Amino acid sequence: MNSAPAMANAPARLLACPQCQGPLTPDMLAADAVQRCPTCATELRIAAFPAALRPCVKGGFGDLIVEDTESACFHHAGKRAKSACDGCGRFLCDLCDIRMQGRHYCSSCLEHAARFGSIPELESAYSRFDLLSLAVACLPLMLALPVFLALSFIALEVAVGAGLGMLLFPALFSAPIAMYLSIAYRKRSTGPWPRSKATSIVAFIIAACVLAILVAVISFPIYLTLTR
Amino acid sequence: MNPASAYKRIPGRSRPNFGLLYLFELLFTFSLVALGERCRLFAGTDHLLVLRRRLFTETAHRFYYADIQAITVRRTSSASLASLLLLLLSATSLAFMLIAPRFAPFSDVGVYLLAGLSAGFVLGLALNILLGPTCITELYTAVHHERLECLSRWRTAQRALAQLQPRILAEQGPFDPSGLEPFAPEGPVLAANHAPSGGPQQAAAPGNSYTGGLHFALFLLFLGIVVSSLIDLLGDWTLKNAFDSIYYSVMLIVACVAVAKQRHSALPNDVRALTVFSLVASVVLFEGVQALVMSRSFIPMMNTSTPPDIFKMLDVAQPLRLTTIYINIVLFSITGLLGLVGLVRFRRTLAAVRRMTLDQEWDGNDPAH
Ligand SMILES: [Zn+2]
Ligand SMILES: [Zn+2]
Ligand SMILES: [Zn+2]
Repeated sequence: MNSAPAMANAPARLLACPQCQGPLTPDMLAADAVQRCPTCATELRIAAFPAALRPCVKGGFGDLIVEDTESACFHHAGKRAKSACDGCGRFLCDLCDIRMQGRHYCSSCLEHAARFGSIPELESAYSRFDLLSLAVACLPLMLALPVFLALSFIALEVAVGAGLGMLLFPALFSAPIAMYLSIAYRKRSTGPWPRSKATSIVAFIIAACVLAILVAVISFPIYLTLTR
Repeated sequence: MNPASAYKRIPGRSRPNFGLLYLFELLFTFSLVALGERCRLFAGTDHLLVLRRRLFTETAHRFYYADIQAITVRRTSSASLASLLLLLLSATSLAFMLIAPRFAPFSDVGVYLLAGLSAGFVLGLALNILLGPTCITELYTAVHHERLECLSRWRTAQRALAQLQPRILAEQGPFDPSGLEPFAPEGPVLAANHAPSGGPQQAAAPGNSYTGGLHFALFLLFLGIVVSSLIDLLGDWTLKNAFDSIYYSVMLIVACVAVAKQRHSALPNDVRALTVFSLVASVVLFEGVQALVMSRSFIPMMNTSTPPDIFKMLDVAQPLRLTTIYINIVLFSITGLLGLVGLVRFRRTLAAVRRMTLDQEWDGNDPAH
């Protein structure tokens, strides 16, 4: 590699095959089509963007206060304030200023926002109660199915009996819990992107079916004794 | 707050989930979520959202279009390996379904289940072929380098790229590759050697000059096993079994040396992966054959006590032997042929690269005369 400045490692990285790090030519990138690496013959497509050629913007260290009339950074008494935090309004020097989406934040505001989700762009973790209810609904099936499959090699009647036996006791708890979860959390926000309600509905249906089997198996002997 | 319509779904999943596979996942949510993260992409107004799910928690990563430096897609051979594995599994379960009931007591349900299993494998194979070749997609920003697992199929990655590229270019303006010229390595790219220890004479094959001769021998040995397995179908001879053991040992040694040699070579990925895969498979098979040979030679010795279980073992040995032969034929014919094809293609590109390098050297020397 020639004497490329250390700052500009992005263009150099673009000119290396992502598979074998062998060299690529700039006109291979210009073509923006499927190409073969001349070294390892791997099929490649590299979509490069102008940001790769943009020099890295260095953050400031904060200028020292020269005149008494200048306001100081909240955290650094000797440094000149350049901006105010959009969260708490404190004055910030270049070092303390964190820019995000055209706004200025101090580090404590950003940390608070990340923890409590007050800035939507910083919110990053979402709970999926629909999947949880699906998993709970399927739990007894997961216990019963392997037993059923293993025993069905021997005899079908034995397999059905043992499978039902495995199914019933956990279903007593799991089916109501799954039904409750899928109803109670059906309107819980799981992020601003489109999401289907199918998982919740499927969880409810599976739990309802398991519950129906449970009720049928319990009530059948009772029905028999009553009719006798 | 972003309205829901601000996000557009970008094609690609970390795992295909439709049809039977989706049903399977519904039933086994617990086990599948434990296998790893799932990832999906959404295109926002000013950023790309990478949504990853682990267990019941989703984590969102936002990559702003203005920050994305490059997206690279490179082909891998995982799809062909997966096809190979699925073919092997479906062939094995089918063979077992057809052979086993003749030798051992087996309920009808067992046969149906095996039929269902092999149908599942065949379906998976069809799905894998339908989804096409695999790839690795990576996204680069100035401070970050992220692999997008959901774009692991070549065609899907191209479609996703076609949707993302206009959005990123609209944010950053057109890309001018002439800005890259100062960073291009000097001299012809083909002759450039990026391995620091290599001399200029190793131009064609960076790393080392190994051109896959041993791999060629290995894949030919694989085809030899296919022939030997076909002979095995005709009968069972002790001398042939002894010869097979020696043959297997030689092949294992060759495979081990080949795996060691390919580490710093320019061999294509699919050939490397095939070699490792076949090494593992042949170790497993070798062990299986040894166990079978041992069990068969020990059964007559134990005949003095004659517990009834030994006769049952004899019944199982025959279908096991047939299954092993069947696996051998399927596995080694495919790996051998695929490997030979890969090697021939590799050597052809190598020759082309050499020719171009020679031409360039010729052009460079010309003015000196
Ligand atoms: Zn390469
Ligand atoms: Zn603040
Ligand atoms: Zn400060």
